[in-house]
Amino acid sequence: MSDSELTQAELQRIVELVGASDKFSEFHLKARGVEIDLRSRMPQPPALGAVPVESPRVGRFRPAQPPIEAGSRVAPDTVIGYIDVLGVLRPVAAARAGTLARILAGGGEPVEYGQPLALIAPDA
Amino acid sequence: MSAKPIRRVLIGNRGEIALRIIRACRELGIESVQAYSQADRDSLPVRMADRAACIGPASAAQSYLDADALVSAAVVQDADAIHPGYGFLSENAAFAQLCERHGVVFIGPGARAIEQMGDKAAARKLAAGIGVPVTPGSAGALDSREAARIAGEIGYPVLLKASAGGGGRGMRVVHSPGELADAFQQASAEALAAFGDGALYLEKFLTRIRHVEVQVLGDGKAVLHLGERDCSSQRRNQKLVEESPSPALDAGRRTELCSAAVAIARHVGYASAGTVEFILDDATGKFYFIEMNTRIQVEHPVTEMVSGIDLVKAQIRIASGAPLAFAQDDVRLSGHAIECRINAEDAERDFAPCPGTITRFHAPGGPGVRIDSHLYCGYAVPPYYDSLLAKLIAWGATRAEAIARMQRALAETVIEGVATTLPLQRRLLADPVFLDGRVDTRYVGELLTK
Repeated sequence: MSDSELTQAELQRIVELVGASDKFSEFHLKARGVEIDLRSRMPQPPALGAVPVESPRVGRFRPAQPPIEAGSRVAPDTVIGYIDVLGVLRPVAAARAGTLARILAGGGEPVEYGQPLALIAPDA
Repeated sequence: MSAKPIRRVLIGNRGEIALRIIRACRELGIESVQAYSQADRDSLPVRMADRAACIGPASAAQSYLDADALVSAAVVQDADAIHPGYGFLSENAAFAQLCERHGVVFIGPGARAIEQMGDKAAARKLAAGIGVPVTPGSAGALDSREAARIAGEIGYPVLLKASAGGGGRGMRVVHSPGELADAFQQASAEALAAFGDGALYLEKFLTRIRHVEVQVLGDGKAVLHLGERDCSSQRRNQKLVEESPSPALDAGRRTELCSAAVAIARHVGYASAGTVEFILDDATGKFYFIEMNTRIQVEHPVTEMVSGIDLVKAQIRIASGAPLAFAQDDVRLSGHAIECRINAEDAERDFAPCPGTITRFHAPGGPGVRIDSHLYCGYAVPPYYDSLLAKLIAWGATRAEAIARMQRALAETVIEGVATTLPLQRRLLADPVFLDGRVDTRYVGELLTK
């Protein structure tokens, strides 16, 4: 049925919308005849006992330079990245000693107040 | 004034006014981004906006009053503009400037007009300068010695008021020369704490007065008015009931009042919705300018109901650089509208704010009734902000019909779980003095002590 087929423009729009969303980790598309298969982005299970580092401001996340790799040791004052608030970089410290399990926010990503930016497995 | 198309608006406010702005955006095909504090995570505006961004913790100082957080949220969310609502940063010139500096349109009259009108003593001077009557008193801010001299000239009682302020803070009535020095010191300290500026000015204190204000709209070139609102039903300078037209004005006086308001707004090249406030001396029929508010007012729906003009949409259009789409002659004011503010306050405990969870909510309906409210059943009213729960607005072809509809709407309204001012509103709307249109600004206070 031709009227149930998507136009090129509609297809393009779908791809753009999904691309702009941060809600999906996978996206399959079969085109024209239409078959879309999205997989929602489930937060991967954090390392056992991992604690989030939350954003202290609303702004854009900038990773530390050089970036701190997962598995690195962090001290409470280790700066894991910055929040760019109107061009001023506000450092975000790990706030506890442990191992960086994962950075959750991408470089340049808009972040809200209280949004988890990284996970840290604290020292026992 | 920018000529930037507005496609996405960040709402830097909360509660019913946030919802009101979301509705205007939606009708204009504009995306809304609700900025919210952690305490408002489960609020209706957060659910109803196209997007939402948490900007800070519950404390207003770290969220709705944090200019950097709001502008930063607008920038990272690609919002073209910020609507500040009322209160919070809505009349903060530095905030308007910060928006402009980061390429975000401030939906309001711009920093210069806010500054000109924000200094209440300077605004008074400006009004007097173009021939608009002001109450007898000081030409501008003064010290306590100068206050004593002028009070001696114009006679007691006098009113000390904060230059930077409003809402009754930094205000003292002084009945005799012996009280002046202490009152001056207290009012100045209160003004300093509330507004960061302790400057005071002085006016003759008129006892039997009405509060009548004129709604104006300007686009930077043309200015027009949408009639007046009578806000005389007040308790401790907090408005309870507003109506338009004022039952106290005849056609001649109305024309004079509205022309004076337009003259003031035109003088500052006003570009947005604004309100010029006057007091009306019942004894003499004279009116005097008090201040201009450079924001959307809580009571704006009263004007919308009689004019058919959507003031929030008008604000957004003007901020995007569009000229006013109509002239004064196109404005048709029809019928009568009344608004009742329903607050979460406990009359038994001297109107103390009453936060808590709404266990039951039924909104009124039927012909001529409008409700602007962020309530829903199960909503937890947070303790951090003002206590306004809902605005009930009734329109009728005549004042009598508007009153009958408001009485009916108040009877239909059910809000349970927190104490509200509904009982007071029901009493006031049945009060013979209100029904007669003879309420002055002291009346409600006197009624409550009866």
